[in-house]
Amino acid sequence: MFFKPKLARLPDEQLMQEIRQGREAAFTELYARYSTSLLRYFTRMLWNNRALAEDMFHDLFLKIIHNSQQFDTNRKFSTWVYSVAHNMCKNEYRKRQNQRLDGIEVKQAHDLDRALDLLFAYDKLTVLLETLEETDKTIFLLRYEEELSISQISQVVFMPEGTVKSRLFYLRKHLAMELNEYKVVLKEKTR
Amino acid sequence: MNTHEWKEYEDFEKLLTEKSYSELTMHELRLVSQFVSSQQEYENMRLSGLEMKKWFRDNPITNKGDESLLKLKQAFRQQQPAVNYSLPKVWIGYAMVALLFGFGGWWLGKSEPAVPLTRVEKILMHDTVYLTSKPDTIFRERIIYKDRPIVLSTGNRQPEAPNTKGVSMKEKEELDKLLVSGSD
Repeated sequence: MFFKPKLARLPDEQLMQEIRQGREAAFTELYARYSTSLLRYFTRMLWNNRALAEDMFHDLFLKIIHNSQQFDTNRKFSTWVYSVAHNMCKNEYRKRQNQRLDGIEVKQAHDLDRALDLLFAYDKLTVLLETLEETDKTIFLLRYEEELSISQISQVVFMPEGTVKSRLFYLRKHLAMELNEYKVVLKEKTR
Repeated sequence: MNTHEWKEYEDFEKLLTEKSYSELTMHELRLVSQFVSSQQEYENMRLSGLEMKKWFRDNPITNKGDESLLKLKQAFRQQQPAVNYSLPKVWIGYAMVALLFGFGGWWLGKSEPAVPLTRVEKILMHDTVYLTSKPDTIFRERIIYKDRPIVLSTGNRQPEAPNTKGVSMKEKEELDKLLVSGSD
């Protein structure tokens, strides 16, 4: 057709259809829409390791290119792409049994002084995020940073919506408690 | 907490971001009380949420370069089949239609007799103006005389036809003249 619809106006699912037909501009548009959020998700999930996150991000877009035919256009693209990203992170977590933060094993940091050192070296929320279990971290980031709906998150992590909600609630409670404690400790340390 | 209560979790989340405890209505307080037991707990959750949002804003992760996109575009081109039939097919169709129209136009133009092109020059001509006058019309009166037989009476006059006209004075005068001239 001579008159193709403007790509910027098309929903993600239709862009995927255009990609299937070999339209490179559609791929560029989809990349522009998701590159920042997906790179951000990978970086936060993969212990702030930018190089690793970029590799994973590149692999994810290669998957979009190679598996575009397998994508079900009745499904929401954002849910699908985050599901793939989540599975990739899961594999990476499996590879590295112990979560590392630039060589420091967070799980070993039980004593308060060591925890405080970590808090001062990095920042409170980075450390809090690093201590979260992989699925919790995904749920937390997808909800509060990428702003996905509860139903989308439940599809990404293969969990009932109620479970996602309860996990989010306890994560927020935990976060509030940790930040409160941190403030108290910080006050005592600076005295 | 049972399943029913989790249905309102999203509303609770929304309240946490939008309202402080003192701003909550009675209905909202009832909802909040399903999740937190005190005002302090609510405010702690609210503040930590706001802090978390601020932290996300202050620690952005952006995609710096287009290097990755260039590599991906290359991969995209390689992924495509060597000849993409769908697009050329459409273009071949358009080309055929264009050719058909072109040929049709040429053929129609060819069947018409060739009209030689002549150059027409514009010449400015000045007309001569003649002033004419209409001659007057002259009417003339003309007396036409008619010959009329005259019957002279000899004595035995025949009774006059009842429809015969009498002699006018003028005629009588003329007759008299004739009689006079005849007597000479």
